[in-house]
Amino acid sequence: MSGKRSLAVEDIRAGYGKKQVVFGVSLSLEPGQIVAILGHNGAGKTTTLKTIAGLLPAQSGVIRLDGVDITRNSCAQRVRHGIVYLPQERSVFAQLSVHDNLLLGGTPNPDRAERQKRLDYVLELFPILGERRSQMAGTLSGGEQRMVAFGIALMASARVLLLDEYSLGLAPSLCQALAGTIKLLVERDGMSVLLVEQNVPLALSLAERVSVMRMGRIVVEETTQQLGEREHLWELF
Amino acid sequence: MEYQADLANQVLIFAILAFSLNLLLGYAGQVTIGHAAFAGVGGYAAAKLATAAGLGFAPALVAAVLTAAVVGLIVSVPALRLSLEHLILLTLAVSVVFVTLASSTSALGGAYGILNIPNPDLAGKRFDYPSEYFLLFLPLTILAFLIYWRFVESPFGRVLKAIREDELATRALGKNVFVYKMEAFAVASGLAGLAGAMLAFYTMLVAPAQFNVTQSMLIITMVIFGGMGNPTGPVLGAALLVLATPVLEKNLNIAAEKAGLVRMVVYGAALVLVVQLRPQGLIPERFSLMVVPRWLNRWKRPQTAAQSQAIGAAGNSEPSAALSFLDGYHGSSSSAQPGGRGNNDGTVLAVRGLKKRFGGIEAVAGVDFVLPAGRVTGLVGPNGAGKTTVFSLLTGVIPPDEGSVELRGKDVAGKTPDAIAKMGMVRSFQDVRIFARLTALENVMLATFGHPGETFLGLFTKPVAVRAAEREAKERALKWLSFVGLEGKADLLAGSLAFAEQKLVAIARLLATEADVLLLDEPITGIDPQWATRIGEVIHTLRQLGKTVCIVEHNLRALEQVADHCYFMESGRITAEGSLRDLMSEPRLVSAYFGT
Repeated sequence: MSGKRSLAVEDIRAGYGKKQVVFGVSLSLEPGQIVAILGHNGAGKTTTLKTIAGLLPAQSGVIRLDGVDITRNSCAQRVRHGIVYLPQERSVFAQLSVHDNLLLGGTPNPDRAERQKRLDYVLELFPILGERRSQMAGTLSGGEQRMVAFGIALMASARVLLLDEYSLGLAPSLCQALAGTIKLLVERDGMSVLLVEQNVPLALSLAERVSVMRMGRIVVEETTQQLGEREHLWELF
Repeated sequence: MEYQADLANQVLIFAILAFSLNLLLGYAGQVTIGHAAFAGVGGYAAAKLATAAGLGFAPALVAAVLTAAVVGLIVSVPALRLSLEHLILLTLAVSVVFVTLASSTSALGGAYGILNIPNPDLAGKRFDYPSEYFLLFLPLTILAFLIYWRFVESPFGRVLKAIREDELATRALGKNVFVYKMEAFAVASGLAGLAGAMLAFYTMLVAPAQFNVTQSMLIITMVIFGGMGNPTGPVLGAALLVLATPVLEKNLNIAAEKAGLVRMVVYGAALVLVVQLRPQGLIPERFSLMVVPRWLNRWKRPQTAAQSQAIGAAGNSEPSAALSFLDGYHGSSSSAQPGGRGNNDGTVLAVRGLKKRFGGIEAVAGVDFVLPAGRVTGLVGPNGAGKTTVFSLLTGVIPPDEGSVELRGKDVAGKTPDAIAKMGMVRSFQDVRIFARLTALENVMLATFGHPGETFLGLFTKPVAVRAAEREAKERALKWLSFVGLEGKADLLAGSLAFAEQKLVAIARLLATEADVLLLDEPITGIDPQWATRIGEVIHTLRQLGKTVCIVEHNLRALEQVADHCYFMESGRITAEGSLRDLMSEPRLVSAYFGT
């Protein structure tokens, strides 16, 4: 799983059974880029990420990784290609210890030494997880579980990281620290990041480009600078 | 003719067994594999009384129902706190105990059971032929069905469904979940006992093998096949499965000895097919066949999201217009708290020396704080500090090890969540905890306190009051939903809404309790900035209405708008307090939590 990856999403339609939520969304992501998806509740941001991750089937449209069509690939195959998704919902293995949760996250990584390095890195990033490493993940507080989930995502050595509101329920200082980590991994490893965020200032501080979604479509697509220069940002939502 | 009548009688008996199980399984979410045993209790009671004490048909039936209901009630007590797997084991044990007892008690006829039960004899008319029995069983079944219907398609049934979805959230709304479970078991068993008694008189014998675990499994299959949680689904399931076997036998010329095998194959195949192809059963939960008892319920078929997409923007309408509804708000008669605004010193909640330990970890290590009446207090601090644990201790979800929690001067430490909710203190949950398979409207309607339709007695003795209360609850629920801008999605299943919308429904549900003291656990997390501001406005308005609010929240910008005073909590202790501004300018706290 070496090398950098570019992601291209072309005219995706997706939804839940009869309920269609995303009506033709296109995005692109180059290696080492951070792109943010903003939008109001129910705009289809999570649905878009889930479709890219392979958790939802795309009803139409194409997803390409380095030019290769992966639209029909299963979620597991996409993870092996380096597409890792951090869900919005609390998603840890409640009955397993923090340590086991993180180890499981490293499964796609074939290199054992690399896995151990990553584990040490995650525990350094979240010292409190080190303290609680043998505790059952389900007994941790909401925010701590979020840290575990983030750690799981990092363990997989993603090439394309899909973050669904990673800041949800995290202390502000921690959000900032994690923003620093994301930037570091992007610069160092050429990881690309697609992040959905409600915390708009945080998103704008991280991303180079922003797509704003509304009612299942992308209505604005600009660089962060251009977006920041807009006077009435909230009207877009 | 007699052949058809015989089949019809079997259908009627199993229909009762199926829909009575549906009350427990489909509505209340209590998985029991001993339902046939309750029928057995009723059957044996009727049989014994009819043979040994010479009791007539009608009194024997009544005795059967009551005996089964009492046994069901007794069984429900150990079942109250059990998880799913353990409940299954308990009901399995009950079933085995029943069969063993019946088989080994000579007074109950041992393995052969009780034979020669006399034919029913009513007003001089003796019932012999299946067609005659049918005339007796049909009205009985209809009566049983109407009683069951009244329970399940009603505010009471709505609470059962809530218990199925999330017991803790139901308790947090002031419902005594244990009482509901006990009542559900008693009613379901009583009805099963009726079916057992009817079977006893029909086949003129009762034997242990009629009421074993296998029989219970067959009844479960009928319910799942027909449609769990739908009022009429199980009846259809019972009819189809009961008729399938004889129909197959006749048309395929299967020998009588193989009848048992055929039956098992049919039921097994039905179960596998339905689980693979149509898990919701033949009739899904929300589909309504019965038009007649419309006056008993007002459940419309929920809109598909496709239809609501057409409503589109209206579904996410601005709540600001709805804020004006609060202008004339005085609080209603069914509000939770008994009244009074606080102690003489103006505090509504006083917490002293609160402690809680989980194994080796001291989650809350001695916490003291007060909530002033009519003020918004913030509780901030790093993740894992113990903030949510404090909320759980205050609202009775977890009992504290030490300390006092005085709500308007009364110590509520250690009380149950439903008791504390009724005293006027409620909380929201970080992980939302809405009732996914109920509509948004039903979620909010459940916040009503003292609804006569939610009680056993009220449901049957005060139909007019129930109808009026239901109308009022619905109106109020719609108002609170429009308050959070979701009235356009009132009829959608809450589980199909986006996360932030679910959060808004949970907030509406909390506000609808009209409780005085609101503990909000991360109400704004996950909600887009525009709505976050609006929720802030809502909280501001609540303060104007004299509510006391405590918020755990990481969204500092939003918190700043509303909080009068803040406590900083870390590692189980409160280490600082003051205005949010003051706290944010302390360097140590900035690096520990606030950031730049």
